[in-house]
Amino acid sequence: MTVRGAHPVLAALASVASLLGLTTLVTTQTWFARMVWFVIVAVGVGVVVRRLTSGSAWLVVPAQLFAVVLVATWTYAGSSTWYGLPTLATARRFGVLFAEFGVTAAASSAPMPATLGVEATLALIGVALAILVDFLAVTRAAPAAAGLPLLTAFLAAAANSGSALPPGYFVAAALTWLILIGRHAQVGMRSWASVAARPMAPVSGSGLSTAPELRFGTIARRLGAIGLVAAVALPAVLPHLPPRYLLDGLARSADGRGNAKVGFSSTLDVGLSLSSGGSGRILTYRSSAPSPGPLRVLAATAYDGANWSRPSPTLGRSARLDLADSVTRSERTIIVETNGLEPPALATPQPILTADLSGVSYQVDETTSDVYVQTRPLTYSTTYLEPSLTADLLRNGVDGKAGPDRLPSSRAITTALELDPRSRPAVQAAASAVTAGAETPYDAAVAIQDWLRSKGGFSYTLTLPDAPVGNGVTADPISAFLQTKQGYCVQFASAMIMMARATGIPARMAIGFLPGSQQEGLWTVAAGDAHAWPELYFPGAGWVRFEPTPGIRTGPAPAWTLPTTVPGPAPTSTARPTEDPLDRPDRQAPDLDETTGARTELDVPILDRVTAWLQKLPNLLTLVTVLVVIAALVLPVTAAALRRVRARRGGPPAAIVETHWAQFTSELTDLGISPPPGGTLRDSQALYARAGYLDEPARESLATVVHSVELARYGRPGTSVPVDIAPLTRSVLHQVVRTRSWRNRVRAIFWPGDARLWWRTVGTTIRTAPGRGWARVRGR
Amino acid sequence: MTDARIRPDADLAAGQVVRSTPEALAELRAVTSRIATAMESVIEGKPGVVRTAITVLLAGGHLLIEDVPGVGKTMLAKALARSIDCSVRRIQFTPDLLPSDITGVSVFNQDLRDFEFRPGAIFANVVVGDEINRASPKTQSALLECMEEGQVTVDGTTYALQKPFMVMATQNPIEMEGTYPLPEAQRDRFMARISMGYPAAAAEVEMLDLHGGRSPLDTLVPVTDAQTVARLVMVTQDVYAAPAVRQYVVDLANATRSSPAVRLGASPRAALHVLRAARAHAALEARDHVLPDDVQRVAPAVLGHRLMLSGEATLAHRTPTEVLAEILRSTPVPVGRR
Repeated sequence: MTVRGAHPVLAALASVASLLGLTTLVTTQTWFARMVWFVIVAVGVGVVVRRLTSGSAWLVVPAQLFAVVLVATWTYAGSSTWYGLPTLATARRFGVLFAEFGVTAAASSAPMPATLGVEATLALIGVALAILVDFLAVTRAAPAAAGLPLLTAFLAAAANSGSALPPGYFVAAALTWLILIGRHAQVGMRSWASVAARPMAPVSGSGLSTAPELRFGTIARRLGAIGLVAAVALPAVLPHLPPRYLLDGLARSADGRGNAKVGFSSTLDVGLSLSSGGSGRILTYRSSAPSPGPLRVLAATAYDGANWSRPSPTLGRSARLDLADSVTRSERTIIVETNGLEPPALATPQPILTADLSGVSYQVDETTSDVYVQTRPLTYSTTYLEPSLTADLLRNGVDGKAGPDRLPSSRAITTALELDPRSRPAVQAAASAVTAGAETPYDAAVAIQDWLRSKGGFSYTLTLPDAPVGNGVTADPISAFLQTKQGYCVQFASAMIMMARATGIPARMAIGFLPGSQQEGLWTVAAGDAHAWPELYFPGAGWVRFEPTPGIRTGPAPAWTLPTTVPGPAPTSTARPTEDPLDRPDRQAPDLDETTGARTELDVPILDRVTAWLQKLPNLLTLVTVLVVIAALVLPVTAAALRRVRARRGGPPAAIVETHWAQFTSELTDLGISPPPGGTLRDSQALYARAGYLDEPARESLATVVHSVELARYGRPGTSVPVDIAPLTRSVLHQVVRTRSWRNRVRAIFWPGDARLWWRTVGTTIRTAPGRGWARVRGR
Repeated sequence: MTDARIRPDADLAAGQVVRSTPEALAELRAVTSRIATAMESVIEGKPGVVRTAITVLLAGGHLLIEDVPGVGKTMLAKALARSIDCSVRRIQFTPDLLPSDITGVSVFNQDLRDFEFRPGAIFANVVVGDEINRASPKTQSALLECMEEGQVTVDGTTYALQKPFMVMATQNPIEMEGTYPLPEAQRDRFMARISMGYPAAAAEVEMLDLHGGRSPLDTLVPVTDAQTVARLVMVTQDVYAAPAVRQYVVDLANATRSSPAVRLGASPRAALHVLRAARAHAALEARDHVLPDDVQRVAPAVLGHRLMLSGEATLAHRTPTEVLAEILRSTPVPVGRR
């Protein structure tokens, strides 16, 4: 047990306590038991290493990491080891596990299912935290600094759980940390000689209160307790500090006040999935459609000023179809091969006709045709309708008539016409300005879509600007979006829905996924493909998808929303933001290339090219990193090579001794100890012994070395010079290195003076070579 | 040690080759440590001064002791002289002292009907010249010639002085009335100049105790003899000085000459003295070769009194010791053969 740091067991307890909160994020808790076991291993190894190598604490963390890797390998990747040792296959196995964790975390909200990947990743994260805390609190004797990782662990739990964390988690984490600090302070106090002498006889009465170290302890304990209680109680008591700010994580205000962000009462947090990078795979599927449309998860009609929510479903076996018989249609099938979406949601293009969920029972919302499942089907296939809509058809009405008077009177349609009272003025103003001159509802809808996509000057961003404040009132999300003109699909879709409703077109919010990326016929939908789009109701045609979100994310708008009359299925309805939709031959039916209005959005390719270039940045970064690493290694490798070459070089004893000495002084200079210019060998010797804090044997070694060099330089010719001083210089250097600061050590490794000198000489030689060659030629 | 043994042509070690073998160096070390112990029983708490004096003795040089009255200059000189069983003469320099008092004079012997040389005070192994700056320059120069040549020429006859031969002169820097201070050129002939300095408080108390009754010089018995010292001087001369060390000495001398703070730098003779003193210093450590460290140790005492500072340096209240220390710091030490 180290005397100067805190107790390792206390540090481990603090780590475990701060990680307790993470248990609320996972359904089962086997990972926690495993993590505790890992922490015990790490702390045990730390204690043993610290005891064995008193003084060199730098071994502790590598030893702990090694032990944990070993134990984790046995636990999670037992089959891939080579006699119990991790191999490349182990690394791959862990890569798979980590990827699984990523997919699970991206695809599910808390609590997430405890797959093996989740368990392994969480346990390793936990033990890494424990090792960090152990390093800070015990090795570096700074338990206060260890509070930062502990707080991070606690906040990770608090910020990601759906509901408020019970205060107990905070109390446990804070209490163990305070005990850690208290113990450290106590040890520090005891190491003061004057305080270390505890009274021999038990002190009682007034003596107790006057014993300085006891008073110190009492005060500290009281302060700690008061601070802890205050941290929990104050936020609850003070009206301006919501208690959930501390206990429920940060930046989760979904009430539309802080950031103008629209929340969803659903299991899919669109904003979160988008901003979390979206590499997690959710679905893979094959489709019979040449270019499938987006996969819808749910349709929501009600908007309460901040959140979209779907009406309570009327579940049945099939949905009502609003498609007039005169519209030509084709039946398409989609076969989902892997499904990562949590029940009750199911992603499928709509409107569906039939579904085969591989034995899982399902129900369909009769109004929206959303599919509800009890459990998650691993694979499924659905058949859906793809109506051949055209602009003319929509503009003129299916039977030649258009107009709001032909809307059916149902509750669903009425709800789909309700305007949000807070955003009504802004929406109506925008709608009337944009749709001026539109003769039919379809023209109005297309005008709104064009305005949002390109003409209105909106820009797509995942980070929302702060909501503008007017007359002391923070604008509601939709007004704010119309004002700031920045947002992502949710804002675009919400704005279009509201503007369409203001124009008299029933509209609802659809949430789901873009078709994803295709490879050899297999489409892959990632978490980042989550999308929201508006569906507008046209009599005879039903709910028709529009795409107000700019093409940088969604690709070209659906064909029927473009002024050209193109029969056939929707053109490409997606483009990953990183890929140029025009450069993807697999994506398009051949006849679409010249006829769709894909090229009407001239900014798309340029923007896409920019993003494509940005996408290559990681490669660039890798290249730069590799180059930097190589550059950083040039000097150390040169130094090592020089050392080896020089050590092998023969010659008279004096020359050998001089070589060793030059090497020795050069390395010491790299370590920040350079002898004075006018100093003799003995001055250097004294300086090295003093600055390197050499002990007696090392001083003797140094004296022997210096004596050899003196004999070599100044001794009577013929005196025998001891040549074998390299081991002595090594031992002295070894001791000096331990007393130098980090900066000096790193400099000695990566910026060695003799290697620099060698390269400089090489550079000079190369630079002057032509001149010398010329001089030689001329001289001849 | 009672009277001078006059052997004009006697050369103690003529033709004898003495090498600085380890045995010889060990003997040297033993003898010098005995001398040092003996001297330190008289001169309390001044090991550095004692060591310099012994170094000069081994190097075959002469010593100038310069300090205020009453700090033990003469005592030091006497103590060194007494610890060696050799002839000692003490000359009290006064303004009316004549050169012949020092060198000796030819007197007509009635019995022999011939001139007979009566040797002066200089014919001794150790000559203690007290208050040398009180004598007239003429007398001073007579002494200085002997110091440099190691011989005396009177009436056309040259008399070699005994070996070892060492002059220890004391000089008082304060009392300037009626004195003839040694010119710089003549000071150059002394190998080293040392200052006694006041003793430390504890040493002074002990000195009061010891010297209260009678002089400790009375109890000082010789610890070696002149022949031994002469041999040790030759051992010292055999100490090896590598080319790098010789180069270093020359570099130092050049540095004093080119330093802006110095008006008159070290002479070539000064360089010679430095090397000889460095040899003695090395021999005192039982080393058969000179190190730059030896040069650095002896340089302040050997060079300090030879430097004449420039006007600026004097106005800046810099002392030769400071200037010398700076020169030592800034002059790189030659690495030597590769």
